Amino acid sequence: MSRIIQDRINAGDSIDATDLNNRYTAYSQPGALDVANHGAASIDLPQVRGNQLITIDSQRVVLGTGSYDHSSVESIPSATASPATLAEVGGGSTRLNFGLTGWTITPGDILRVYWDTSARPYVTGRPYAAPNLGALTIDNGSGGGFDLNDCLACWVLHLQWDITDPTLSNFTAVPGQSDFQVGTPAQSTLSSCAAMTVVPAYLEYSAQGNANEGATNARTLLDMRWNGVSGAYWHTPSGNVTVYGMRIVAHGIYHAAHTAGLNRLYLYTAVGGVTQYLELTQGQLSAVHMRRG
Amino acid sequence: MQGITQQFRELGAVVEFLPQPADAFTRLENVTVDPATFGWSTRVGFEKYRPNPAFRFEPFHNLGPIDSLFVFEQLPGGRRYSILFESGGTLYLFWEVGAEGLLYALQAGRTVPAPGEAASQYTVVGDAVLVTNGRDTPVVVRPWPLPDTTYTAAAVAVGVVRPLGFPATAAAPDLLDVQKIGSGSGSGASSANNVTGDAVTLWWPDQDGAIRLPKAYGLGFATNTGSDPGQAADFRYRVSFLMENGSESPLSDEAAVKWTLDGNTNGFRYCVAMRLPIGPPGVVARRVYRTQNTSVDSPTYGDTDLYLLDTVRNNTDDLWFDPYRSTAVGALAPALTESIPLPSPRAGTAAVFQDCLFLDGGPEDPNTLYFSHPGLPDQFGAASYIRLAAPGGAVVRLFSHYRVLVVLRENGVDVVSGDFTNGFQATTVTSQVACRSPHTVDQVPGLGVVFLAQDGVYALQGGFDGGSEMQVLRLSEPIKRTLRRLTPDCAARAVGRYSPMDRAYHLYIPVDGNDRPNLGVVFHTEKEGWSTRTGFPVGSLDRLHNGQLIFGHNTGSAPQNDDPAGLFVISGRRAMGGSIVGDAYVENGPPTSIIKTAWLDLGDAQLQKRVQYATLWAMTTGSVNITAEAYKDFQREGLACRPYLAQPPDAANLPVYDSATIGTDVWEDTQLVPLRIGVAQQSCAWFALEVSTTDDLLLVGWEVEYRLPGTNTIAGKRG
Amino acid sequence: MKYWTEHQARANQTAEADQLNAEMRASQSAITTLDRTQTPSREYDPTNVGQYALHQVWTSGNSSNPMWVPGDEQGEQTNVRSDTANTRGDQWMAITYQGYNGGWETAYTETLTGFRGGHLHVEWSGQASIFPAFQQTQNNFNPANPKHMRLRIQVAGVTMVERQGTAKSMASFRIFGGGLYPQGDLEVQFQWRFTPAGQDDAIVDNGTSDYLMQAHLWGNKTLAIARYK
Repeated sequence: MSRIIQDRINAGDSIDATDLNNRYTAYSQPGALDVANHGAASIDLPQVRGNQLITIDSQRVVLGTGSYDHSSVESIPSATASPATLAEVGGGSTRLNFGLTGWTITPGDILRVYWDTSARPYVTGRPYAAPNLGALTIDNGSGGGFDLNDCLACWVLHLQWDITDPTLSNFTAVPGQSDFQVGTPAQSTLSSCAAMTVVPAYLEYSAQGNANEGATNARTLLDMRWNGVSGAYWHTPSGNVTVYGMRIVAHGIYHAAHTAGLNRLYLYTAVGGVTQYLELTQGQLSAVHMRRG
Repeated sequence: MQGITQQFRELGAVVEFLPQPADAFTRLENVTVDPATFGWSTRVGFEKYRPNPAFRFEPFHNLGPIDSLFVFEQLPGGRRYSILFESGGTLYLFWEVGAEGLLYALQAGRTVPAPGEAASQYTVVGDAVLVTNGRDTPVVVRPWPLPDTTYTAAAVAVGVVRPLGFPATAAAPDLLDVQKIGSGSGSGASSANNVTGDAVTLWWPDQDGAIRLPKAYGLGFATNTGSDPGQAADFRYRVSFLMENGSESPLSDEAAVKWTLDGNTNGFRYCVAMRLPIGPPGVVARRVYRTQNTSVDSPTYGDTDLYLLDTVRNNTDDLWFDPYRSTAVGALAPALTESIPLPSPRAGTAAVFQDCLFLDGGPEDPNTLYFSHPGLPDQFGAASYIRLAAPGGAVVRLFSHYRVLVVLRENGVDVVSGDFTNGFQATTVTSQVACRSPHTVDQVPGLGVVFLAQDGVYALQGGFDGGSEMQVLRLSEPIKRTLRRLTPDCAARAVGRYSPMDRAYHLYIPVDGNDRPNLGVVFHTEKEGWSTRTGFPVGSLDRLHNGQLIFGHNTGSAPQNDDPAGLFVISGRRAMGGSIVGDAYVENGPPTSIIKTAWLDLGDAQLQKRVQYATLWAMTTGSVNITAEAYKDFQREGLACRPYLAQPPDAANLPVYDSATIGTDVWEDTQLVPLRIGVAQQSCAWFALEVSTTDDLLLVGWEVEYRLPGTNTIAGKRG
Repeated sequence: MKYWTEHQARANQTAEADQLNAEMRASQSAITTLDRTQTPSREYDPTNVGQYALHQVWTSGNSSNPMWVPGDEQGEQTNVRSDTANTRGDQWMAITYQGYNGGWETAYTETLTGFRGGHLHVEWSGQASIFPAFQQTQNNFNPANPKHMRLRIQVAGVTMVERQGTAKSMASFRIFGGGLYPQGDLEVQFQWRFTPAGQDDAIVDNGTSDYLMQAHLWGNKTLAIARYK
């Protein structure tokens, strides 16, 4: 609306209909009230409530079909061939579905996604023993070497979205995240790991009382139990994108690798097998579509 | 027949209530008091701060309204001053060094005041200016030293602007582990041979013969005669930051380091290494404090007092070593309550009183005043605050005066007296005066502290010492009708300053619904009365060293529009600034000055008078036209009289510019001459005379000559 | 501020300019400084409220990847790392005890340009990997040396939140904190600190003489949300 600038009426001015009308018309300027009309602190919650000034949309869904007391679980098998099959956590029944119109994220918005679940990795024996990935040769204190693993192996849970249509049959990894389907073996550089959670596949230590200044000749394997794991992702698009649904997929086992000057995760089929699997119970997957300001 | 003469030998000022005193005036517009004669002079006007027309309105040509303005006198005697102002949410420094005229944006993104909100206030603290606006973090601006104009604004701002106080406690120091030397006999680990970096081994021998000055350095025990580890050391550290003015930050969290001597060791004490935190901008040194050895093995077990170890005299060193023995520590550390993070991060007003910096609490804490330690404006103690009584309203302005700190509040006036050592006390002076205009406060000789309140302009006089009383006196009784035109919600935008050059207090207020000041009222100390100013686009106001008033334009210009914008000075220039016409700067004409006398009843309003002559006692200001109009009985329309020249009526004209001849004419003094104006008016009950001119006129007095024809005013109309 | 009648125009009263002026002045004053009792309810939405009026969001990365520092090593910690020549093929160019001197390292700094002062919420999510094997040490001569990837978020040099961090060989973390901060282009530093070497750590692979990877920080992305009044 802007400032109303009108002079006062002076004694001697004619009592004129046009002048009087103009004075009142000045209060009917086209355009909404603007910064020239508002005093300090004149906009409070009642003035903005429900108008999506901060949050536009939000949704939350239970993730996974297991039960939180571990009485029923989902089991993700380890890959024995490359690439790994991406298993959807919840099997298709626990995914975010944004409806027929989806959520349209514009360049001034941000999409934030959070997930968590409970995971337990299983491994039998030492399928990663030398000469497989991660097998280190440590000084055994008497001139020889000892096979100790660096345990840089993990299961991956990562986030996918469907930006094609509401049928939710075209899920792909979100921007900045790889689907781990390409390469020999299937792999991803660490620069494409923006939307994932890792669960260690196995852990072993140099046994207590055995290490002597950088040497070892005995190891202890850790039986890994249930652990809460979580992940987060956010996306700020440069152009409009309509998201119809999101889901988490699980696969493994991967190991650290370093080739051609880049850090990567390689699919580790040598440890794949029926005795290596990941159990998941239940968690949450939630998303918020909000403005950036 | 000789008429009756009434003379007005001393002219008063505007009085708007009725009936008016005879020597008063109904209108005094765009006039000032001439110091030589005490008469009313029309010589007013204003010009650009940079007078050269070739500069046009640069560098202000793209600025909108100037919301606040401050002339910071950095050195006495006017040797150096800086002009700071805010426009469109940016704090600018007007760079005039080396005759350049540039603007430096010191800080952008500041809050633009809403139409009814006061703009930023400026307080001189030491050699810097504190800028507060009740919304943004208070910043300290110290515009010196300044580099040359090849530096960008951002580079200049880094050295010139910093936030006030400390935003948080210092970060705790990062202590490295003490890696001991092994006992060397019997089984046990020898010194580590792999890379750590998170621990150091620094030792000082305890034995004579090992080194000169044994025992001079080192912490904890040197000897453990037992075969088991023992004689532990346990030291705690805290760190604080120091500013250049000596203010110390709150002490950091505690960090601890411990070690235990191996069995059968003797001969070495260890020293501790740590990484010190780096302080925020403005910090010049760090202080390190440490306890004594607080381990159970130590005679100082449980003594958790902290003592000063050393001052690291820079804000860059990261790694530091402590070799000091327990007997070499310094004074006790200041108590934790001696310094807290800035208690008022949204202060709106500030003042220095008894060497302490006082801040209000800001909009969320409006009834509290916080004060710093004396001489340490960035250091605030935990108990250094005063809670004012709630009914007085929010604090609007702090002002140091006489021996008290005047606290102008929204619904009252309080004062704070005392000092830091003995404590400050708050007293209420009055709860009926509501100051809503913080930028109108100034000291006026003979009156005290003058400010605009909700119901007029007040003067706060007197003090509390020696039995005297502090009084509030309303000065604006004569101009109540004009002051009622004030836009009530925009009173916070009013600005006022005393000008020693004019010997007058200028007050510019938003009237008639406008949200920016568009009318001036001026209190002349010689006349102890008021006049008005119209057409002066004052948005913000301050005073230069020579007593002249400088103001910022109240509207400014959108980019490319070439409207008047920037800084102007109220001077003797006979022009109302200027404008851009056809790409060149052209000065505007002078203001129209209007002098309308009071309505005179000349003795009795019931008797009809016939005024025949009005004589103006004017100084001979030259061959300029004096046009007068005669008014009767409060009517709007007057009767024009013949124009006269302001030259001696019965002697030769004095030489005037543009026609005086060099070499022939001589310089002259002005003379007081009577200009007798014939009035061809019929009878009237009330009479007034108005003189209106854009020329120079100096009116010292006047008189009126009238006859009484003997008739009375007729009775009123029947209802 | 609301106003009530200043002057009422009644029949047979003089048409006085000042009366109408008083009414118009009060109206103009009110329409210039609307307060929250006058501004309409539920009428303010993104089309008529300025940008960043109520909140502001800063993130690392860009539209194609939210992790910090775009490039081949996006999202990784790059201050301390071995070079290719000294790295095993089945490990990563990462933190080794040959290169890490202890203490806090700043992996990434986000500058909150335009922060107007108010409540700040900062999130940091990523993956940490640790070589776990030598956390036990030789008998009782040396205490155990549990390995943790400590994480810390500092805002303007002051710690907002600090965690002891993950301890497994591969783990995901999310650390977040909030607080009230004054106005300014604040620098938020995302820092890590790894456990220094103990007495018994193995630091080279005897077979290949490569430096052993001890820890790595990867998949990192940050988010900051300011809430203004």
